[in-house]
Amino acid sequence: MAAASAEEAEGAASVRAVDEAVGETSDLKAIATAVIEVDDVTKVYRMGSVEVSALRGVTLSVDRGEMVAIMGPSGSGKSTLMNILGCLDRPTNGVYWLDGVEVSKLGDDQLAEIRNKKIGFVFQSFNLLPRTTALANVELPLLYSNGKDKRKRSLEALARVGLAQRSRHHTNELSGGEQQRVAIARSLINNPSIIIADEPTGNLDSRTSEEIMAIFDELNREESITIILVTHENDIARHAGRIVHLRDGVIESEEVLTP
Amino acid sequence: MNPLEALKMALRALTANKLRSALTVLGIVIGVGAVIGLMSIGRGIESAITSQIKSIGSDLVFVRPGAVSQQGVRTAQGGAVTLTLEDARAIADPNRVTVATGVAPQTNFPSPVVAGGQNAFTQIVGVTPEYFDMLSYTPADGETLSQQHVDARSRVAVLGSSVAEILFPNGDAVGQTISMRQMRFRVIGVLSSKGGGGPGNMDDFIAVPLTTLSSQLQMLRTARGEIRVQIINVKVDSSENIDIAKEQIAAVLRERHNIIGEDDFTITSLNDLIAAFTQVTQIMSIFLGSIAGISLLVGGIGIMNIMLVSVTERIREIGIRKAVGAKRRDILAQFLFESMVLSLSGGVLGIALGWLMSKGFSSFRGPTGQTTPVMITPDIIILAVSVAAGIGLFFGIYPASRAAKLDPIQALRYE
Repeated sequence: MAAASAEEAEGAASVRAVDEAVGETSDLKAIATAVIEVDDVTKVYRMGSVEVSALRGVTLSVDRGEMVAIMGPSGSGKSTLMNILGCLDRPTNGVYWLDGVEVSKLGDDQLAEIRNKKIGFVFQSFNLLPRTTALANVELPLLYSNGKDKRKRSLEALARVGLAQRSRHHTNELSGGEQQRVAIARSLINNPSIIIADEPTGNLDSRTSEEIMAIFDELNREESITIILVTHENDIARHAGRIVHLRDGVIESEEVLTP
Repeated sequence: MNPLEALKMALRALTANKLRSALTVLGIVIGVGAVIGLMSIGRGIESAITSQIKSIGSDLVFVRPGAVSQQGVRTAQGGAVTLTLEDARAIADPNRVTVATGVAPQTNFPSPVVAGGQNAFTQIVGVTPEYFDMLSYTPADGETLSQQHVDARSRVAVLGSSVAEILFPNGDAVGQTISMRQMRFRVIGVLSSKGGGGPGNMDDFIAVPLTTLSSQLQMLRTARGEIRVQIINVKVDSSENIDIAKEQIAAVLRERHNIIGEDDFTITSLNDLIAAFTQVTQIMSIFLGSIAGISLLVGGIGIMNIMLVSVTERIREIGIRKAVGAKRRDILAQFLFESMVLSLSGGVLGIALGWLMSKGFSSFRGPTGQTTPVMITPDIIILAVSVAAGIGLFFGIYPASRAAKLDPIQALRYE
């Protein structure tokens, strides 16, 4: 897929042309190595009678075990792209393959199942259930997939983020960093194909931010978990292996970082 | 999501807002309680009336004068006295009315009665000796009327127990004299009480020989000198033969009265009476139940209101749940479970309240000392609980489907 990423700079149209030329064999190969394969995705919102294009042809592929940062100013379409990558929303046009499944045409319930099984979310505002224990929050996705050994798996996930001893605490008794670690544990619980982190350090001080990023680094390096990082902070984006710059609904540039 | 998890989730959400949940449940408690309480009164009165009527005997048939048309003028039913003592004798003929085991003609005459310093206003009933056996009256003191009394037109009287209590508070009625319409009657017996109170009191009458009544107290004779009677009581050998008895009696009377067209008499049985009363009390039960049902409806609206508030408050929670994989039906089930838990717990508590209410009603005493009969039957409870569950579903489905339809992106962003 290195070839594809090199093409990005020249625009989405040419990439599509290459893909069409190479044909099906390339597709199969792409599915084998790439966990995310987005092809010429657009998103148009209707605001009354006005149509607003949030994404205007984005083509992107992410390999298994990669950590990719998506950056861009506000209004660049990075939230829209994140929602589509996270299967919270469907593209208006274009194709999205996630882990070998074409998800761009699925119905609401099927998308819910994909989110449950293949995607872990970490949000800027943590999005934990209030007045509920850390453990119950981590268990939440298992409630909708009838998983076995809920308690055991949830405690393991909390242990992976170093919060085993606080599992019985209610989320509002935890510090911001601890809450974000609970959210990471929740995202890990179903062994997802990708973790999507939307400004995960946006509400944290710089020291705690580094702690959280260290967890992401470790998960990526040690356990080869694919992580999509949406951020506007350069320091945070530097943790990724590749930075995708978005502007006005298209990919403006990509930079590959060497550690 | 399995139902146990959903139930736990619902209980957790409802206990997070204890006061609010309790007040919402209260609406259903009052509604279900009112339905059960009021319907139990209806049922109680129905069964009390039915059993009182049955205590007279379900094997009796009553012949009364019917409506009469004379020169184009139609009188009210019973307005004209068309039955005579001879009619009663004809009905008593075992060759003609084969299923009758006893015939007791009767004439009523309301009158004041005086005895010593006491007086009363009661029903003077002119009867023959068969009357007492047929309506299961037994003497508590003295004796009942005999054929000699009837033949001799004796001025003797048998007192019903409540009249005896009023006229002779000391209980020494037998042998004393009472006077009605300036005529003196000797008391020869007092009947034992049949029980029952209020308007159905069956001990409030004085029995005298039919012949005495019709010749001396109230002149009721036909042009040919026959004694007229108001009611002919007929006892039938078994309650299955009531209809046969009615036909045979009708045949006798049509022949005797030379009737071609419309009958000038009506024949009723206690079953007809029970059916009529049952219909009335059932209408009353339905009426009371629907008034109570309105409060149940208001309780249901309360549930819907609270569920809508709850959905709005928890939009973000719904967003989180959807983001981690909750499907529409999971969210729908979660909120439906909450409204069902509210309405069903209201239903169960409402049964308790209804039971207490009916206990309260039954302890009220009317002016004559009778109690209000109440009765809680299983069908009332089943009705109330299923209506409560239905209300939970009906009023819960709209808020729950609103929650289920929320867009996860907007729900997550909601402040």
